[in-house]
Amino acid sequence: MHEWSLAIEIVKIAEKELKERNAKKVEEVFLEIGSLNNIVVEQLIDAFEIAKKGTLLDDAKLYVEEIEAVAFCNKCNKRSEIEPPFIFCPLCMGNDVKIEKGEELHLKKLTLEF
Amino acid sequence: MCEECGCGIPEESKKEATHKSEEVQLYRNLLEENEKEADENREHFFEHNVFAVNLMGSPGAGKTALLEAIAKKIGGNLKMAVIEGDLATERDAERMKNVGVEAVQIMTGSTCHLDAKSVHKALHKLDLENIELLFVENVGNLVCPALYDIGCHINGVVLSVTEGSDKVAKYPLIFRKSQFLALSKTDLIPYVDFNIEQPKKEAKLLRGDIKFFKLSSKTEEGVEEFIKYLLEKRKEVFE
Ligand SMILES: Nc1nc2c(ncn2[C@@H]2O[C@H](COP(=O)(O)OP(=O)(O)OP(=O)(O)O)[C@@H](O)[C@H]2O)c(=O)[nH]1
Ligand SMILES: [Mg+2]
Ligand SMILES: [Zn+2]
Ligand SMILES: [Zn+2]
Repeated sequence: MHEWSLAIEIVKIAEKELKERNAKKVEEVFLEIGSLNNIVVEQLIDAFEIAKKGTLLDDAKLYVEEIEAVAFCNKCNKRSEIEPPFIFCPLCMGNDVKIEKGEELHLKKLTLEF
Repeated sequence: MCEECGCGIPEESKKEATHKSEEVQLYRNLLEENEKEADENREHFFEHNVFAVNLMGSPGAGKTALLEAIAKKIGGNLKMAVIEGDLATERDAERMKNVGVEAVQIMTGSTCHLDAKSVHKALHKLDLENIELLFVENVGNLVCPALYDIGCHINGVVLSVTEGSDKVAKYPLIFRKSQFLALSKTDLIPYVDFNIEQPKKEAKLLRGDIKFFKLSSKTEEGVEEFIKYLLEKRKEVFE
């Protein structure tokens, strides 16, 4: 469901960048999406294909890099990959952890045509 | 080579030569615009000493019923107001007005969540100087509201026992963003198979410090305790 909202945000940001830089159109969009956001990449791409219609992103291709979740455990003093959805340290099973990766919702770069 | 439609190789290479592409590194948060607006809401709340609560949950979880129950208990002791978010109708705002609470309705049309901007607009329709406790009842939805910070001091989910005890792990993001989980309609537990330990346990695994409440707007079970919690949080922010 929120894939649709995000697809619209992508189009909005990319169009703004394009206009600011006087480019003609957007060719490629690169995202970084953390696994803790529960985003289904295929659905995001499908939503993007619809959201881009009739915009300056009409021909743009979307690339999504998924980022695995990593947390630092304050008890073990170690960082580990965590398995969504639950957030706990796989070493001690405790939840005194700080999420370091996995929450990304980033538009990393654009390829613009001039 | 097909000359008629121009699909030939020479045409292609000519096309490429006239195009100039450039990579632009951005590294921007997709929701940055909303985050900026949320910061503005925070400023408004801070300026006027308004403690704001973002109340989320599925359609029909009992969010408005809980707010009605809270309003009845609070009476004139605290100045309360509500911003209601729904796709359509002013029904929820009307319900709050009927129990004597100032209420503003946001109609989102097709949007399944409130964003900071829509809340900001609604804030301008309220007399913030005269509000101590503000609830924002989000659009009934366990998915999208989790992504959109609206600038409230605390966020929480109302989850009714009729939805089933397995919902927390199925919609992890919204519970991870919530400081409290209010389990509602507990008066119905005898009629539905509901294992109260499961959501409690799963919510703790999503967020270690989440507060858990058992509430019934019908019998008023837990309503007073919930208000006490909100007032303590308010104190932490403003005193
Ligand atoms: N038995 C019982 N019914 C409840 C309770 N709380 C709410 N209900 C009923 O549940 C239904 C939905 O309640 P609402 O308060 O409208 O739910 P909501 O979460 O505000 O719904 P939306 O705003 O449409 O998403 C109504 O028919 C209420 O009467 C409760 O504590 N016990
Ligand atoms: Mg409601
Ligand atoms: Zn550990
Ligand atoms: Zn949404």
